[in-house]
Amino acid sequence: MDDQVAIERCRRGERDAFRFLVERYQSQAIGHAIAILGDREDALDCLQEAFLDAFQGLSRFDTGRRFYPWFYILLRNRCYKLANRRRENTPLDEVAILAPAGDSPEIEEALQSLGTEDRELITLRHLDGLSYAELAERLEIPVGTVMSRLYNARRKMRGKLESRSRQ
Amino acid sequence: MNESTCESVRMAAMALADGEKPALDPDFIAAHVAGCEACRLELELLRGFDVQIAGKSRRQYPVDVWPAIEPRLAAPSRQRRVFLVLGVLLLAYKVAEFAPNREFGMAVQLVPIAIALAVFRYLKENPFRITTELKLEGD
Repeated sequence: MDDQVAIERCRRGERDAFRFLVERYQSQAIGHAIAILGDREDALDCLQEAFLDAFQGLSRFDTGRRFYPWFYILLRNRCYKLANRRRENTPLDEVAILAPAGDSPEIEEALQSLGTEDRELITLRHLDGLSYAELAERLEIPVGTVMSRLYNARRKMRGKLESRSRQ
Repeated sequence: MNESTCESVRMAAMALADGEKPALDPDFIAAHVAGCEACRLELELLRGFDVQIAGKSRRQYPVDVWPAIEPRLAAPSRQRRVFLVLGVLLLAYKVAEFAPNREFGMAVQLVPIAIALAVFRYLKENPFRITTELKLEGD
């Protein structure tokens, strides 16, 4: 079954078709939510809510689009909403973003210390290899903004790596 | 060298290195970088980071959210139920306002305000706050 068929079947109320989408994308999506939130439990909560949002919104889904970039926007909205509500001093479990864990501690640490949006952008570009057009679609910003934000995020990342190497 | 030109060139050069269409002419970028040591150094450092992170991948987290999602697919969401209750309350209040000999006390007149406050409290959002969540951190 491909996504389009699954979506059509979901629209007819077939839950198994939605299960197919959940099981297909949940592992990828939890990694994305963790990269935004830095916390596994919060990421799981957002992931569940985003899938429920998707189920309710499938009737409005444009079948000319791919499912995951659309779903990513729902997930991202959930994550940012939670991140904004979360108190600054909330202790996070700081789960690893990179695989294998512990292989590149300096990059992992620099990624964790970046701001949410910069970390999201860097990981989407460098770990998922998204093009600027794909980044623009996921983040709902123009390609020119992707270019400038990515440049600034890389500079911050480089700065963090440099200061760590000086320590 | 003009700083804003340098910034634009660096951004465009990184886009070019990423295999994207830069905002500036590639020849202009090359000429600028050839004559600007600050840009050359900055681009070298940025590309160094690209090399460091190249080949890294995301850690996979085994997860199965279906058992938590499935029972909630049919039920109306909690948020929808809360809004439904508040909507019914507001409607009841408006209908009561049409009553001919109504002599409601001050407390009853505060009902719509209480409902509005309940909505904002439920959403935990300040309606007068300007959303900054997608603002760049450097701004």
